[in-house]
Amino acid sequence: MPPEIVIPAIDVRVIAPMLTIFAWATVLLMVDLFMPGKDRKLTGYLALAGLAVTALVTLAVQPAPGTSRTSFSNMVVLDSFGTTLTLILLLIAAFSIAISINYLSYHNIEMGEYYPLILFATGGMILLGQSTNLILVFLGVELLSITLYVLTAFFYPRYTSEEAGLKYLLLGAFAAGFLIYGIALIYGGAGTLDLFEIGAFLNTSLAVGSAFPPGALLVLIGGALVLIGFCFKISLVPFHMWTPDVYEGSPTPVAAFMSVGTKGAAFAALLRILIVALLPFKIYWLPVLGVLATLTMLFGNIAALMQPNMKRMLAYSSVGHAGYITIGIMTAGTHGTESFLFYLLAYALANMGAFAVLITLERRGEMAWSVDDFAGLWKRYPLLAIAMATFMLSLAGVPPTAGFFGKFFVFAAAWEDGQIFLVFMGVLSSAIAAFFYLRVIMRMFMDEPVREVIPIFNRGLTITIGIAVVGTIVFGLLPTPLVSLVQNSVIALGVGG
Amino acid sequence: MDLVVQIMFGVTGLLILGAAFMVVSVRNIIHAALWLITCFFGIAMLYLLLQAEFLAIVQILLYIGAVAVLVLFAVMLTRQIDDPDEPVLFQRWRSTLLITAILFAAVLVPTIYNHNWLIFADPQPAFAGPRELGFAFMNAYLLPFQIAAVLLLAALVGAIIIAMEDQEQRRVRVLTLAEEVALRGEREPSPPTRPANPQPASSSSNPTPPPAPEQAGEGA
Amino acid sequence: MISAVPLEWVLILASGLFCVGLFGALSRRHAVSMLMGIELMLNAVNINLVAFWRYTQPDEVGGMIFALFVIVVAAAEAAVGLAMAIAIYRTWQTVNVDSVDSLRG
Repeated sequence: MPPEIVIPAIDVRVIAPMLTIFAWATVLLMVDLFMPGKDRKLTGYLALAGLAVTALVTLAVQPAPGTSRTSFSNMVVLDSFGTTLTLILLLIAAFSIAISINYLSYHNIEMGEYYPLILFATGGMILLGQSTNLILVFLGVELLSITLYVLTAFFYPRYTSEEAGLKYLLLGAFAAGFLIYGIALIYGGAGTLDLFEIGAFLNTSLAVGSAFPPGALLVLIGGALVLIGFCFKISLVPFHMWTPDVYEGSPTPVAAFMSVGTKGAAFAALLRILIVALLPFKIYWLPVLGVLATLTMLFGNIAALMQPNMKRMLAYSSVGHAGYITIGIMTAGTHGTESFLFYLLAYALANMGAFAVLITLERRGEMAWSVDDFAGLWKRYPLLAIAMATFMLSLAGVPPTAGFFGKFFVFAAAWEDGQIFLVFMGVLSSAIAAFFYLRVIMRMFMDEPVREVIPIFNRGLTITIGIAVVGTIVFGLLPTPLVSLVQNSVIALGVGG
Repeated sequence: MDLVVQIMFGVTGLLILGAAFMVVSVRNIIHAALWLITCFFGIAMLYLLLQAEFLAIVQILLYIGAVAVLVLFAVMLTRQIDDPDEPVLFQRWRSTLLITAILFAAVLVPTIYNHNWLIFADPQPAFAGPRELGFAFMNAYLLPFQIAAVLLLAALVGAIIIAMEDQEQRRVRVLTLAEEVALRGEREPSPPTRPANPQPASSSSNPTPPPAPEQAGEGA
Repeated sequence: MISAVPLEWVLILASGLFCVGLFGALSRRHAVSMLMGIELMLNAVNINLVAFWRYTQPDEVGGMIFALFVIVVAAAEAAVGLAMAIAIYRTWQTVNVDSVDSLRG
């Protein structure tokens, strides 16, 4: 007689955001099949509606301040950190879809499956931000990556798009190999895949006293391999080489989505692994992350200096920003997660805006995102030039913008932690970065136009650029509400409570 | 009895490693795929030795039945099986060999040997057959099970999108902006209108056009 | 029975397979060959997981379950990767990663 299947007590509220988005994506996939005609804009608007519904659900189930809920055998947790991160990710996805709707039809690559794939990737990101089990971390990374490989290769009239997709896939699958090999070693050492239990295991076994008790060394090596796997996903130097190629080849909205969304989600998962499971190993991962952050900030910004191609420049700038975010997560064990979340939101607004401006100037059938197109923009399209200038200033971290406070909080937290050298390198690389951001502004405002540009405007682009400009400036002038929001976003360090 | 098991393990291990070595070293890619199948088969034998019978079956069904056949299909469709003029490996293969050897000899092996394994004195034959696995999927691992389903759906849709044959509306070369402006007669095109083949001339970062971009005006 | 074979042997075998796969993924020029190398790496992970399950936790199913998920993901990745190789071949008439390299700068 077989045992009865006992479904364990499930708290559906914990997975409500990702449940909503996955269900919406699946239904949208089928609705799209029955939609008449070639026009797929309606699918895009339905996807936007899905994101709005998911945001409402997320707000409805958010836990009371200071509490968290776990369910599904403690595999997922819903804490205020996860809620805030989910909202930021939904905003990023909404921006990406809004700037895609006309982009796809304009470049003749309109297919209804595009939008459900974006929703699937967003769901994977939300999952990464909430999972407390290495199985789910692995599945989240893969769900996110596989959909992004497809989206990267989506621009089929451009032969570079498939090339970018192949490069991204080969390196991504390779990184996944490292990630799961590391997870397997952690499983062998600690005997569990649960982040809380791994943390408890390390605490008890390291307390015994000997240098490396059974299991701990294996967890350490496994953790290092997991870190390598994540470094590919968040493109830390020296694992960044795919980034500019993939960004240049992929459709511009997808590049925008990848540059912020993937980084945010992967950093969040790494943050959870580091401070929930591997906190006893902080003496090891702190210097490693410090070296990686320094290399990333310096190399990313120096490489961006020499780029005549705006899209590649933004790719290298995103590499540089990954370095600053790394400093943010290094301080997370002591200063909470506020600098990470604030930086992520400021960066998301500025970067999505900059990519949206890039889309208005993108030429059909050509592959140029030359910085020349920005020359003299002020004389012809002053509003567009002002918007782009705002984004560049925010990315550079100049005071009246949100980007300034993002960098400020990251550096302040690192300073209080005693990471003086990192703060110094961060400021130095910001000075280097300011050079190329300001060069774009100079060309827009000072130079004469080099060649004819005809910006394409539509509702999605205008609204996205508008929200991004307003957000960047408002959070730059009045950061207090946002600061209190992110300060209340705490990672759950234990089960329940 | 112990010696028999050890010999079986040794033979299986040699089969796996030898086949894997052939996969990465033979020139003909069909042969590489066949060696890959051999390697998968050896791994299934290892699972049987480890008393993971269900996984052994899954290994044969999924890896040999699906993945390896998929690989063979891809090789057939790309028709690039054995080109004697092309080197098999990158120029940098010696440095990769070095990195791999260091990872193996300096990191993995010492880690495994320095470890004091908490092994059951005589591990009992464990039963993780389909029934136990099914119960686990419906209980503790319910959420990953569902997420894996979502992942498979996304991968399915994605693979179809990527590999879909050219239809009428795909690969239609769209007019460049300059050409469209010229067509409309609104104003003189600033760069000279280019012929049907869109070389990325305006992109300064793109000095070498690829060998055969098929997109030029096909089906337009 | 299997206790005649120490766990270390199985793990060394798995790490050897991982490194051979790593070498293949890094140094073959054919895209499909690189994918084969990645498949070898994933199989090495599975051997590890099954060995850990068998030797240290034979009364739980965690390791086996994870191995099944790895197989699922490997199949999904292989499907997308091989589809991409076919698409690349249609456009470029080659799948050599050296030749498919127009993005530079």
